[in-house]
Amino acid sequence: MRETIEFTLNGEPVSLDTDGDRILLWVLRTDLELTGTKYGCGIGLCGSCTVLVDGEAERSCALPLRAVRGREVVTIEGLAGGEVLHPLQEEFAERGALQCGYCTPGMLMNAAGLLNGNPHPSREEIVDGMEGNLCRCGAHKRIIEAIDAASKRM
Amino acid sequence: MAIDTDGKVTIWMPRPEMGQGSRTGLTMILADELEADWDRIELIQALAGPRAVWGSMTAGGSTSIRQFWGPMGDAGATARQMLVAAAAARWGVPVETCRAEGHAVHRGTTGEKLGYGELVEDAARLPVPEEVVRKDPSEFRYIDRPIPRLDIPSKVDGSAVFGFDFRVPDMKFATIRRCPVFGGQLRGFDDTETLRVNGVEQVVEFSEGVAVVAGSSWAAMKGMDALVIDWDEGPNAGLSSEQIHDQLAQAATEEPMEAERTGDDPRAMLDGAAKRIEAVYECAYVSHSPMEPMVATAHVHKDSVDVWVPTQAAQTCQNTAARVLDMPREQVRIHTLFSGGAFGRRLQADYVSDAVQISRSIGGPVQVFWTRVEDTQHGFYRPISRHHLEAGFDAAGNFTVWRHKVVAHSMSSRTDRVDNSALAGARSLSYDWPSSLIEWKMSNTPIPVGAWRSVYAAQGWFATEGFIDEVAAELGRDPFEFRMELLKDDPRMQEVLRVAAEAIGWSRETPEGTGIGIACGFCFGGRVAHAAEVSVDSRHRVKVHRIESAIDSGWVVNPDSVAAQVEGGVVLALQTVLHGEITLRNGRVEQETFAEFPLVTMEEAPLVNTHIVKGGSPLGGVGEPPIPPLAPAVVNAVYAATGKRLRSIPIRTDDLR
Repeated sequence: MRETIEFTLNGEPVSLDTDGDRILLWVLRTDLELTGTKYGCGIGLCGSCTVLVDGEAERSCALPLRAVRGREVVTIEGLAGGEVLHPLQEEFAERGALQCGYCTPGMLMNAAGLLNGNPHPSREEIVDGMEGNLCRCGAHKRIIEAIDAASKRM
Repeated sequence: MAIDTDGKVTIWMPRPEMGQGSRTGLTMILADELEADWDRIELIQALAGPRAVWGSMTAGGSTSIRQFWGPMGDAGATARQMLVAAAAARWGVPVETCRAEGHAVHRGTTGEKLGYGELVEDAARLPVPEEVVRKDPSEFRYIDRPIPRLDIPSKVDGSAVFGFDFRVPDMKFATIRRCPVFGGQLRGFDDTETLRVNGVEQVVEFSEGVAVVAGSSWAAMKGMDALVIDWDEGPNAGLSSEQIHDQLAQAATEEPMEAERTGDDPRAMLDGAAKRIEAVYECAYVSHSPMEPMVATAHVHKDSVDVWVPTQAAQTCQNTAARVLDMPREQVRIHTLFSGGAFGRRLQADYVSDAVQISRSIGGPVQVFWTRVEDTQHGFYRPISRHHLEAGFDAAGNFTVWRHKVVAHSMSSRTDRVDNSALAGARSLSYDWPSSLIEWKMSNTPIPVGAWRSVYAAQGWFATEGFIDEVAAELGRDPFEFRMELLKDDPRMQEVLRVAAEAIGWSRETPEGTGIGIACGFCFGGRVAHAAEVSVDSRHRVKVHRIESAIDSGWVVNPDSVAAQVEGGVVLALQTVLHGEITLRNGRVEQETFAEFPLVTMEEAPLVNTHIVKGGSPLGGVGEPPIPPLAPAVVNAVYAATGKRLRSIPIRTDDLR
């Protein structure tokens, strides 16, 4: 059923006239041409599609568009403040905390959500908080270190 | 390569980037020889072209740096020589008085210099020098330094274009389904409900199955869910993992082919042994499961085609599209995109075949993508294998003979000769066996198999390194010392073992329930030893805490990329130990997603410390060598912790009860 859905995306107001049952991941990637948010499994198991909704990490592959009505959505394209990278992005880059890079947007957004809720997590809390984000290339160690380093700077 | 009059250097990159860092490494080699400034270089991914021009463009076998050290360095050095010659001519001085440094040619010690941009037009008119003069390694400015990878910036801000992210005007999106049973085919379908899904445009058949074409990816998937498909399941509809297991076990009882024999007659040694020990090691089918499922965007024009695809093998894609479309290869433009992981899966061009067929059917551009389920169930899996090992001892207790029989699916499928590639890790080892017999028995199945990072080496070394530990235990010897003794003819392997052992603290006592294990391996030009520290809890769960890795692949181009490949190799290989298994029931893969084929999580990932050992020339591979020794290092550590031998991967908790 078509309806008008308004929300904030990366700081800008968005208004879409579409079926509210559609899944946020695909609306972002297709209608809004923001392809940084990735499809990995489509059923919430890998975390590649993670975005922030009102500051909390959410799996966009499991979220109907209707669920973000009136809320603030941030994708990887909105994580940086203009030209200035987010400390997480800087630390991931600095430490080479990625190989293929396909899981990276989801890793970064999940980490951003983690730090929003717990600005100075212990290493165990970081590992625990990232447990649901999968990486096949094996950048695990560097990802945890990058999040740890970013949290200490923030 | 090209240099423009502003001095910007453009490099056409023959090999793809899938996160392994070769594009950066190859750029370092060229830039170093050119004496180019790092920030004045731009990369263009080369279109697939003839081997005669490009050599192999395939990233496989850990070859990218090895095979292009020559051409990339020669290109940079040749250009440098021509720029220096142009400057010398401009100044009217001997070439010997000029030198290249920092994107310019300098005249003696006068302080005068000319930038590359100012010289390039003159240089381009000069004859290409016949003799290429490469730098002395002491002059390297990039090589052997940890240069940040060039692909990283676009991968942390979301702008990197992977296969799923590529867009071209008016393109459609399609998802496909193949017969879930290997060897089956499409009989028909009812698309009534599919065509009612908003956004779905049409349903098309192609050689391997059926595709739903839509205006968006989401609509294509919804449409596919609604499609009623009638499959002819073919001859394999009853095939199960139990049958395949039994088939290999049966094959192991049949007469094998002799692949290698060393020392005194090993058969006589076995027959005459005072004592023999034997063991069977087994490896499961494993899926590549890169984070980005298979995807390709194709646009078939009247007499040409463009394909934008994450691939390891652009020339294979070109050949495949040319064959499928019956089109001259020159008319096939393969645009290589970033791969969201590959590990050998993207050496295959099956998904390119799908895409060009579907584009031809609909007469326009289309992105053909696989779902996670399709990707898991239609892979080219790491072959299943079974290893029979035997060791003999004389009456005095001396180790006298080693036997390793490999039973596996052969990718070459030749029945008239030994498949030596399938015997990686089993034959041609540098172990100085007292005598040895290596045997081969092919046992092929209808399950598609392919190269999975390190190909057969992981399976062969798992059995070899696991059983060496058993022989050492039988002899009451320290497994590290025992290996060192047998490797006296391979000092480079001894050195990686020694470094890994020292880093883990080999001879220290470990607490109850924990253990240290070690293993080594050689493949694709690289030697690696891993030392593993593990614990096994009261519920028999294995936790790998730390891996100390030593790698000797000769010269190093980018030490940070080497470390990343070792760290990543450890995690990828650990998945095959802890979880990675593809099983069959009723001719179809049972696993669908990461729920049934779990990857290594953050909590499971061990600390990995990489120690680079520069054992000398030649340049060896880096991507694959870290894989083979990991599984045996872990099971050997589990033995040290529990006294129980794990001889089958993935391991099962029940095996430790």
